Amino acid sequence: MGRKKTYMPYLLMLPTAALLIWLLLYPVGNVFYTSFRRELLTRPKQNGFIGLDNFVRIGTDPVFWESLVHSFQWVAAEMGLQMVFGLGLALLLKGRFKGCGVFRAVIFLPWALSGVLVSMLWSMMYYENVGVLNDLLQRLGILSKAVAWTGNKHTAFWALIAAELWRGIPFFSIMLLAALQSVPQELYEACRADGGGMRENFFYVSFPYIKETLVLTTLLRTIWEFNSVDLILNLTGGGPVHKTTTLAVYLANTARRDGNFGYGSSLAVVSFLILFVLAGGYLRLSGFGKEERG
Amino acid sequence: MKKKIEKKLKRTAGMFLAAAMMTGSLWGCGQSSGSGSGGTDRQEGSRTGGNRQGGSQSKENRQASGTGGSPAGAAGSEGQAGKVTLTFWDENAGESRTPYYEELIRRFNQSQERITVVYEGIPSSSAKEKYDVAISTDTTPDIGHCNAAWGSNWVAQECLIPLDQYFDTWEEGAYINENYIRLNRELDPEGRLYMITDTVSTPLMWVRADLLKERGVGIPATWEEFFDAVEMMTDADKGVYGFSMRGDSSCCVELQHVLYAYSGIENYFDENGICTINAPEHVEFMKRYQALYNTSTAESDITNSYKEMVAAFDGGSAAIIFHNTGSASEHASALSPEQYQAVSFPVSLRGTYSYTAGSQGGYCIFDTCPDPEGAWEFIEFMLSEESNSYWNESIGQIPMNNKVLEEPWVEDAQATKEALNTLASEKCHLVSQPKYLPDYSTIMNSNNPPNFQAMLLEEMSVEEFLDQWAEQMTEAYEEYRGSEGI
Repeated sequence: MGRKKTYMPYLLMLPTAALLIWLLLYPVGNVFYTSFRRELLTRPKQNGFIGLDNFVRIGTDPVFWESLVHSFQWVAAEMGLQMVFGLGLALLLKGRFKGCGVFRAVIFLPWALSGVLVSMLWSMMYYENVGVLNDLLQRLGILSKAVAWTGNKHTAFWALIAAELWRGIPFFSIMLLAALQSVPQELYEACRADGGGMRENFFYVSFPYIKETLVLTTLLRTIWEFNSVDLILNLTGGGPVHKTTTLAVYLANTARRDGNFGYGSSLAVVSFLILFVLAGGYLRLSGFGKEERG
Repeated sequence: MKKKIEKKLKRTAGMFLAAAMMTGSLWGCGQSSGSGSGGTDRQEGSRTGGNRQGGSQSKENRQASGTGGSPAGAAGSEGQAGKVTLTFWDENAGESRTPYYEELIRRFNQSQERITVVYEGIPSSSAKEKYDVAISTDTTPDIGHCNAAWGSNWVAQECLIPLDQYFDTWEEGAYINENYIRLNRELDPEGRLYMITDTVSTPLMWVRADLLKERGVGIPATWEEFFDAVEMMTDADKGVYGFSMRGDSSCCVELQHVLYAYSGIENYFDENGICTINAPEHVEFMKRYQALYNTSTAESDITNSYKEMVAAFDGGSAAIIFHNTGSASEHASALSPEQYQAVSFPVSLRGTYSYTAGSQGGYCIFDTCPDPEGAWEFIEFMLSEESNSYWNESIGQIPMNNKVLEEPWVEDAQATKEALNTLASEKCHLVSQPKYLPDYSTIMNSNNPPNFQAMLLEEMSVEEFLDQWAEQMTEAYEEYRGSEGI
């Protein structure tokens, strides 16, 4: 009777564990397996095990290195800007003012929109001839000639950064606002009583409370941004001349458009390893969870 | 210590049970796939193969059905009264096609009691990926309409049923354009027929006749006049350009038509198997074409797709575009007939009208189809004079049933008439595009569009761009000939 009781939790966990293995571990394992194979839809008869050939090819593939650099630039720019603007917005929204509920809802709206819809909105705004952005800037006298925001090699990357920023800031704001609202008011009062101003309030009261959230949110967004493809594919397709091709876009194009699942899988494995190292290093450096354990 | 051992035991038992459960579920999947296949060997063969190579037995079965084999093997998938529901995928769904397909399918379903065809439309931008996934997972439709450039891949993956026997015994088959039957046979190294073309879109120029008239510019009849007209029509300050080009993944497909139309070169590969895309005449044209970018075109053209290009033309911000008869219905819905005109490419440097065999789409039957005879019945219906006429008149393209060419509407459809007149000219010849090469799509849609963009931005020379393109095609052709023992 006692033994049955002991095993019951494991039995109850079994369906979930089985689903996880089936839906998560098996596909991931399959990607690793495929990365050592030649799997090309156009030449099915030549498919088979090729050892490390795909990984050797990655080392000499100029598009891979270019897209890797773009990925790092993309993540760094998005993370830095989303965090700064997201935190600023969260601090603004923390205060109670008339209509703050409506204001919060409006601010969070972009996060609720689908990636394709966001792409369409920005595509229309960026349109060279009839886009609202060019029209506005020309009316204000800032631009004399319309700019092809997503077609110009100097502006395309930053045009995508702006669009993704618009979509990503609300996520940071939501998470940080929730963390900020959990800070006991007495701590702020105590800080003020000790002669602390706004800066001290933030660094000595707010920051320690939101640090864990900040670390987790940054980590999540880093992973999501590293893997982000919808907006880039819809707005530029990775062009012009790979100027906006990130590793995730390159991977998607290789596997999805070219039907090269072997090489695409090896790109996915490399991408996974990069993220794994980044995430592990980041969590270690930031001391995530140490306070809880302590 | 005892606790530790107990813990280990529990963990091992848990993992064992989880593994057992997973194996059980996989076993269950395998069982259901076998029983759900209706007793055919085909599905089992392709699943165990891990991909579409399949087993030899499955191939034989498919060929049996292609040679008029009895549908008995499919009986298990049919209803008790012999009724069958077949799924049809349209690879280019949209407002300009879907309603007409739906109407034709409604007519077919009403015309007989046994077969019900269900229409499923896929946007063209993601059609190939959807088909590829379906092929990899054995979830293909029964009947598909697809781009010919995908055909050779699918033939290689052995996922289609050969149509020779059906076609050869079909009375109206004699009226189907034999040139395109020949081109479709080229998709298979063994010359079998896997696809039947129902419509053809011929590459040409679309000209905003109203805008040209306003500026006193004539409709270009020579290549010189084309370049002059583009320059004269450009007023960049007002956002009006003489031309709009494509820069997306289909840019090289569009460009290929124009290059051969300009040069008049008759063969894609010379007698030594060397690709002619980098011929000096093509280099000459490309240099003038490159010079148009960002002077007589919008800067954003570098990433333009079909919809942006057509929007620029229909919206009046581009006076001329290169496309094919397939965009006729889009222009017709946005403009009045006197505002635009389809104009054949001017006569080439060799004094001929040179046409790369235009985008051919076609019907094929997938080997997952439980009733190939029923599927063929549907294809026969779609290619019959009445349906082929309705379809092509509605979408503004060239019919493949020759009987339709004698109908009055063909005379009245300006774009169709223009294309047919040029094709019928004694000076016209067709350049066969090597869509049978397994790497054709990759070279045209993946490898070279970034190079085209680099060339427009002058990061790559015209010569480098065309040489790389030619090199890739030559290599693919050599490999193809080697593998097929040609």
